[in-house]
Amino acid sequence: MALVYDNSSIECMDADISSRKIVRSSFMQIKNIGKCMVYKCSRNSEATVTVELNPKKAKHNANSSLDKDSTVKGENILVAINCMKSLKIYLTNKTGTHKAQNFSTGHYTYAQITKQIPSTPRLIPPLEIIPPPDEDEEKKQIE
Amino acid sequence: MSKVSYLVQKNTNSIIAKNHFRPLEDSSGTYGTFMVATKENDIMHCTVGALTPSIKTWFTNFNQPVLSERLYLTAIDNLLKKVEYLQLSSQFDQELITEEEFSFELETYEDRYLIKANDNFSPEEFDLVITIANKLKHKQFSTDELSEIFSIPLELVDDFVFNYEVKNIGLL
Repeated sequence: MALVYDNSSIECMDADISSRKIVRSSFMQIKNIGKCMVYKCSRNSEATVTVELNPKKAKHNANSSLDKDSTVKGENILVAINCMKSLKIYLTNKTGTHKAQNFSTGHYTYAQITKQIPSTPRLIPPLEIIPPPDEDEEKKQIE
Repeated sequence: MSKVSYLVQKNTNSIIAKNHFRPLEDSSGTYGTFMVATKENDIMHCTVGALTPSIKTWFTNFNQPVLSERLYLTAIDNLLKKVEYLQLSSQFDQELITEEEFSFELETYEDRYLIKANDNFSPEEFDLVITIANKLKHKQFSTDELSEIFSIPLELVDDFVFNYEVKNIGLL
């Protein structure tokens, strides 16, 4: 299933990223994930889950899609990968007019649409990024 | 022995200026009070007044230059970290350093490259961020760029934007 609205996201252990332009952005500390290499994909981008999380629980956004073959498609996508290695990006022929830049992440990946495709109508109310509940706090509440 | 003199006009029971304050004996009781003390030539002057909304804004604006300076320094620091990271990545892409050297550099000199989020980021600081961003007329910032530059937690940027719009544009 393809997710197309702003703030739609996927979380997985391995993802295939494809875009017309992929740029390294920064090295950031993100809550509940850790130290991540952040890539910014623009000009028509998509990210697809190839290996699911084990255990299958969202770490950053409770609204993330976790299933295999879930895809986020948008104009701009932010990809955060929890690894210290720089990943190689390779070119492929995608359409009759344009090539595409691709890479596989091979590590924990969080991919979020930051700008949806312009022709897509906006979702009302917009999707929110909700941090998943803390397991320790849940146990304390039960006790 | 220092003398203390009050600038209280006891006849009217109001403190600084009748135009700006309600008399203190007013029992509606919705305002707090403020006190300002100055010392000059061993004489201390103490001023007390009702904390009306305009005076409260005047006091909170004292903190603004400090917050602004902190934000500017954070932005400069994070942009320099980004430049260092991209220079390192460029060396790796040109095969001037190996993958192991790249990973070693990131792990050993983390403070040079790692952008950390500020978990105590406040709505007042976000208002200042928007003021700064609006002054850069040639650039339109996305939420993830604001998060990267000003160390705003990635999961909270949209909440700050929504609250800002509600407060300043009055969407609700």
